[in-house]
Amino acid sequence: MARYGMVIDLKLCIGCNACTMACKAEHGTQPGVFFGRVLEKEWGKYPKPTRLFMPVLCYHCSDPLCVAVCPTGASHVSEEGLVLIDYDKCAGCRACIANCPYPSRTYVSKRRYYFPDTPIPYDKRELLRHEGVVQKCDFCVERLRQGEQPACVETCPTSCRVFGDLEDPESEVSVLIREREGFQLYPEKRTDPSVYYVR
Amino acid sequence: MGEVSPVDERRLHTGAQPDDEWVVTSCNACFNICAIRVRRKDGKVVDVKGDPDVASSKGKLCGKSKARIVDLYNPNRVLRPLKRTNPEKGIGVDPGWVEIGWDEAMDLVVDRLRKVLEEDPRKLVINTFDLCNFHIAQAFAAAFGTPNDQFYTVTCGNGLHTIFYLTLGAINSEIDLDCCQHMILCGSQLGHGVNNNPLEGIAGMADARRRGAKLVVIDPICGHAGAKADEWVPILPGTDGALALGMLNVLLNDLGIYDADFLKHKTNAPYLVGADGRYVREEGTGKPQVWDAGAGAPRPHDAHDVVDYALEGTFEVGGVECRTAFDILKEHVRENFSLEKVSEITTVPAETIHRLAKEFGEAARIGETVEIDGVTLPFRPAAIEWKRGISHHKNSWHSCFSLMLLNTVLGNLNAPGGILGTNPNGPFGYWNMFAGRDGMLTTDQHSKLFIGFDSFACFISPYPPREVKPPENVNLRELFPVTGFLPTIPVFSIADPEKFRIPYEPEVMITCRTNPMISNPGTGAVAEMLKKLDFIIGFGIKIDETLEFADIVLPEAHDFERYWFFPPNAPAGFQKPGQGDWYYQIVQPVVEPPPEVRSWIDVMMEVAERLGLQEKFNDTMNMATGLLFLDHLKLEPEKRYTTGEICLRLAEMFAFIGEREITSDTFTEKEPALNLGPKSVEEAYANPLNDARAPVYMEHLIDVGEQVKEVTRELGMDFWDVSSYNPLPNWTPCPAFEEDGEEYDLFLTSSRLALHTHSISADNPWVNDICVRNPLDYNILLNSETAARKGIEDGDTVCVESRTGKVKGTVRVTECVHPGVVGTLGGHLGQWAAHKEIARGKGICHNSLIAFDWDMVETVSGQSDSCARVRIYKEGG
Repeated sequence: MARYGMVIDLKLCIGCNACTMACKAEHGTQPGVFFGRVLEKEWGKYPKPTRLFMPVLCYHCSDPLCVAVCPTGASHVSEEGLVLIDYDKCAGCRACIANCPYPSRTYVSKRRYYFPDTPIPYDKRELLRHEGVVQKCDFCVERLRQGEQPACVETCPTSCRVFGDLEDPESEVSVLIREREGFQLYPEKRTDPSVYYVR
Repeated sequence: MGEVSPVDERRLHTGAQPDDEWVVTSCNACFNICAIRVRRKDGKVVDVKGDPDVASSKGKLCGKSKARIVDLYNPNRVLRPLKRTNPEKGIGVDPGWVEIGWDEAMDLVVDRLRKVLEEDPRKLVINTFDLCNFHIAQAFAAAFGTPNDQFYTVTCGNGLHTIFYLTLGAINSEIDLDCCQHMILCGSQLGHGVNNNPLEGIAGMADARRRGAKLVVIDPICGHAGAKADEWVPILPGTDGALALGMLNVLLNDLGIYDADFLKHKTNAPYLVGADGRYVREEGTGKPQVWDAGAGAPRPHDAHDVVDYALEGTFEVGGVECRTAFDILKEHVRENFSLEKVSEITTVPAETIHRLAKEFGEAARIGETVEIDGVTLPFRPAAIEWKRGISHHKNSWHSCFSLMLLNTVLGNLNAPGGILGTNPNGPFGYWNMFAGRDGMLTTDQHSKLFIGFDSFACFISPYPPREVKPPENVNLRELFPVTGFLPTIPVFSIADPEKFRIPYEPEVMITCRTNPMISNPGTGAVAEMLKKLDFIIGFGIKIDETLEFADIVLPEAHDFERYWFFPPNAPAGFQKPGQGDWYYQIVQPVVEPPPEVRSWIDVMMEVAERLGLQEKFNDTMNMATGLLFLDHLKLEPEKRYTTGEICLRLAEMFAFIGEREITSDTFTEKEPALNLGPKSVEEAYANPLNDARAPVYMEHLIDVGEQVKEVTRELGMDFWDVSSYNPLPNWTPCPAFEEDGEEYDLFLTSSRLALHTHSISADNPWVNDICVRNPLDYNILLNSETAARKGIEDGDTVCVESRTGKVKGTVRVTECVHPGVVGTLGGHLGQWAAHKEIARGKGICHNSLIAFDWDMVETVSGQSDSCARVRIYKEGG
């Protein structure tokens, strides 16, 4: 069976946040909630500092700790192998957040809008109407089911994100991981993330 | 129109629309025009994506564009005409807006304009940066009788656009990312989302990275381009021109790396120059001469039998001792721009300057060729690029010229891998670069784009020089004979018309889509200028800092609600230079505007009609657009049209010129743009296949400088400086450098972010939500060494103070900024308009710290300087 995965080429990411914005528009996340972000970090000393842009999202692990600890079965592995949240089942206990090694999940106590008290027509789509739940990236599962790529992948102007089947050794993602020594974040946590980075 | 096209019928039909449709249009989130599709569902915009079938986006999209969805529905949008009730105007003064009906608003506007029309129509000034809709300002102004259609305060590049025209035959330039292997960006972030044709730029830069091209970024701030560069070279702001001349010295005198063949045949390097600095001309013909080393005799520059052009040496022609322009340039940089001196000016170590020049010169592969479509061309895969960061200094002209010379001597002008003008040869020979006066490169791009008007985006031809005359236009174009682009100048002349010998007092301003209170240096000076005007008619989606000075504000449509004139993506600027297709996009409405919101263009056309100017307006519009050449498309004299009707006539015209047909599929998902097919080699790479010569020596400045001096002195304008009218490139310090630096010890500079553009993005809630979470965005950047010296810590609230102003913000201590600099990331921030609930108080207003007086202006290009010395201290400290 296919296993969806993503490779992010850190050499190409310019930190423009087009992906962050596309994610926000796609999911209608509320103020302060981001399913995907680009973290920035600098190190080294002037005049030779290093500045890194690092896109982060949900890693859709093969052995997801969030699913293991979820008491209600809200966090689950879908038939496509994605880690998803059934918001109707989520009790908002946040055990998943405590156990997930990555900055991927956000607890949303109350639905808020960018223009306070004035939901705009866009908001009225009520993409994420759930309150008192934990929310996160779903690899744009609705898009995948229609044969499209995740919004962040589609929009990225550098094409630094590649999406495909990790099980197929000839897929672009597998070739990239093999040829450019793709690595996962926090491998010591043994969660086997489906998102790899190359640099 | 003779025949109503299917497009006409379909697009102007406002009745039944599908419930869920992707509408093809173009983005105007910044000044570029990327092809997009906007999804309308149940009459509302719910998504935007890049158009997968058009080159300008190829299905990709930046963050600004997606974020425009929320701008459309901002509750602070202006939805009805507003009238000012408070006669007092000023920063932070409540205008006391009251809502009025359109009938009353139009009566007020028309009555006030009629008064000016009867007294002296020149008293009307139109101020707009509604790009590629400049016909409206031009046609309205021409019909009205005012010369003042050329004021906007997007202070990008008086110097740079002019130098690009003189050297590359086009208003803009980009590196040939398709095949460049060694790129130097000077204060620019090409390929990082903040420059021309941004999505193609980002994709091109990413491809260059994939194939291992090298990127060097020279910038006081290690912004996003610096972060991604193979090497970041920190430099003091305003000194890049000196660095370029130092590098030129290394190439010409130390390493001897230059493309002699190119210099001989495609530049004025071999022209003979006498002791007075002027060309030694042939008797009778008056043509500049070269020395034929093969024949041992002088020849006119355009002689076809020259055996070998001498590039160096001293000669005697007709009893006059002379040297080649190249010889003079070489000596000039050797004598005046030693590594030690340049290092001291720029703070870049001498060995670094030498290495940068060597690596750049070697990467140009001088002598190599490449075959493209059967044509052999020079292959020069090294180029240096810059934009506003360099141009926005008092040494603008000379710094831009100096940087361009690094490209010129390597022979990479409009060559594969080199620096490309944005399409110096237009589609179907519509415009071309050619050898003009004295064989020097010139172009009719600016005039052919808008037929009958010497103007593209208010650009006027920089060569040959224009006649110097007493000023009539508020941009004083009559006194700037060799430049083409004069924003910001009207701020001076409107405030003090007598000083600049404007023969009338500007009284009424129409302003739309430009916000000088934020985008122009010297915030206080701009406020004084606005207060000087008796009546300001503003159009706006939101009330910005400039519209707070308006007397009437009319609600303006969002780009998703209106047509633009066609095409929005004029190839001179908004289609990638180099290889690719010619194609024309469209801007068409996706949704209906709110009930009382109108496109400002439609409103202006109604005003013209009510003032009895319809026939004149249509005449000029026919001329400005070129419609007059096609009987079945040109506007009838007495009829008032809508923007959509004119847009579609223009689309028909461009289709006709391009021998294409507009069908019911055109501008839909089936055929999102009008594609005219691939560029020819001459269109992609102009200079190597053209006789025109690029300048290494600006001889024409000598006579012109004398004329400017004569006219300004006759007018009693003795303050008008002509000292920069020199043929040789030079570097002079910005006015801020003349201060001793004791009290104000640091320089202020800024760097742009991909999510921001002009002053319009800061009030977007999605953009804001992302930027406030990024560590450097919106903050004041201070080098760790400087911070330690001043006892300032990361996160401290500090004051940044110049002689002109003071702002407050949060410090980010970083290694990514020059220790002599206070940096800001994010462009035009520190906004204060009452309606901008999101932008208000975010970041600092850089421009409020910059002095804005005539001493800051360079009188060749009309550029005002953006350098300021500042001091920084902890709040309360």
